[in-house]
Amino acid sequence: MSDTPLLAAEGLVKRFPSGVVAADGVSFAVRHGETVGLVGASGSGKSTVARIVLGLTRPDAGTVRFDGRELTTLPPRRLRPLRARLQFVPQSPRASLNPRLTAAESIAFNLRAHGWRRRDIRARVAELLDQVGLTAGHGDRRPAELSGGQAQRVAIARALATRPDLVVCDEAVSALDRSVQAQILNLLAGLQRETGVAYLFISHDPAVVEHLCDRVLVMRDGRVTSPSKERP
Amino acid sequence: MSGLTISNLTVTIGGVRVVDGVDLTVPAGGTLVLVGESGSGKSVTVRAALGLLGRRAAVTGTATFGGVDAARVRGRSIGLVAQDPTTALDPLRRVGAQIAEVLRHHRTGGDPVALLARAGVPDPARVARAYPHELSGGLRQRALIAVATACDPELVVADEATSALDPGAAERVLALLTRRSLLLVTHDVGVARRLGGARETVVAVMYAGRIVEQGPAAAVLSAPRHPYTRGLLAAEPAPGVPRGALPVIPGRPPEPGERPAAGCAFAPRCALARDVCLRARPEPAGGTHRAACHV
Ligand SMILES: Nc1ncnc2c1ncn2[C@@H]1O[C@H](COP(=O)(O)OP(=O)(O)OP(=O)(O)O)[C@@H](O)[C@H]1O
Ligand code: SF4
Ligand SMILES: [Mg+2]
Repeated sequence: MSDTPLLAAEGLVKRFPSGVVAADGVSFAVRHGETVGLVGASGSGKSTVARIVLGLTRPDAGTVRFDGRELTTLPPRRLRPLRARLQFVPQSPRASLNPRLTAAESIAFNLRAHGWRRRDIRARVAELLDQVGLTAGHGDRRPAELSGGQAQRVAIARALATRPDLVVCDEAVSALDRSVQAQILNLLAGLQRETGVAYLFISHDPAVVEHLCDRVLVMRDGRVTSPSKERP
Repeated sequence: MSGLTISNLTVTIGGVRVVDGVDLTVPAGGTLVLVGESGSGKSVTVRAALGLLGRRAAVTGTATFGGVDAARVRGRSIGLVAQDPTTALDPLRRVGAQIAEVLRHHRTGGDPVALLARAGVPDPARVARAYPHELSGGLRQRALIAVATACDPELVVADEATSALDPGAAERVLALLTRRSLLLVTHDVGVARRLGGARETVVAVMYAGRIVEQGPAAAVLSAPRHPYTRGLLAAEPAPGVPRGALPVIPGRPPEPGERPAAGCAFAPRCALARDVCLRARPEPAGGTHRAACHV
């Protein structure tokens, strides 16, 4: 494995029209196969950093290098193939899944968007549903017919579909009760062991972050205040 | 100060029994934490108790507050923080104006900005001028808390009031809410631990529309009696548990329509289940710390 980090954010700045400075010089790196936690009070800028990393928000200053390539200035046409390797699990699975698509269709949609062929898609969807602990029957249901935990599994399957190197999880388990949360945390850890995927894991729950992450970054008022501590 | 007493509450929606014979007591000047997983019936319970369910829901049983029907004193003596801040606030009006209207409606004085500050909102003047969609989930939740506590009700019913909040903000909100009788609904059993022992705190655990365990918080947290409560507490990430090896409760809870007609609804997921659990429904038993379990 090379020494180049998978993701390197340098000096990210984002100021909103309201005057709020959500990111004020944020720098950090994520290496291949590791889990980096990002914690901080609500409003400290965690989600803004996530959106910049994913290319959903353009920073006022700073750079994001993914596997050595600068993302923030890349035209959308060139960004797309990279997006297959950089995926997202959002906070509210029900709200983020298209209500008209079944679970299997949502996953297939992501594969199609990244150029997968029809006959490969079928097999891959079945494999993914199985990996996240869902049955083919769940695959035929729409979000409204799934529990919160099941819908979150679909969101994870969708994010992992294209075999990404990095998945950004923004409060991905915060809305789940502890028993479902434990199932999802075990699932994320198991998938990392199997596939070597890295996570940038955003959460306001210290116990969850402590449990899952190799290193933790603490954000406050748009800055990373504590440099990433290695886990003992 | 009065407490809230819910007796034998049953709610049937569309022919399906969603809440089934629930007994709960919010101690006067104390806290009741109602814990349960998504879909267990927590919100339907509190909405039924406050008379907020529509005509499609058939409700039997009683909910009384200081001797009167709780539904009649909602808004005046009972403040409600609803679960979904996005729908509970009017999207087209500034937050400050919405708080001011509540104050006018109840003919109490008070300054919306000061109330927001009291609910732990940083930069309350900016938030008062904002529309709900301009705020983060955590800020919207605190704005709702400011609305619900504006008239200093004797009892607050807060549905998932701290779920979107970081620990610091959650602590400030809990400090504000525990100045009165409080019914706190949450999917996170850990919230009960954060309340501390300063005043009477009762934890009730809901599963598949029924209360399976209820008792003093310290007792329920340190010596849970029901297998479901034990499973919930064991699933919390704790130091020393290797990554990927959190103890989980297998399976999932039954949908309201598929709950077993006889026996214990938790049996399919319970490691201790035996024959009797499939035949007879366990009833709550055991004094102040009650559990509904045959074992
Ligand atoms: N208006 C309604 N019509 C039909 N079914 C409903 C209605 N409201 C709730 N239910 C059903 O009643 C059950 C209990 O719902 P409730 O909202 O009380 O769960 P909850 O414990 O509050 O869950 P959560 O933690 O997700 O908020 C669920 O199966 C839900 O789908
Ligand atoms: S009654 Fe039986 S099945 Fe139900 S919780 Fe107790 S032991 Fe388990
Ligand atoms: Mg609810």
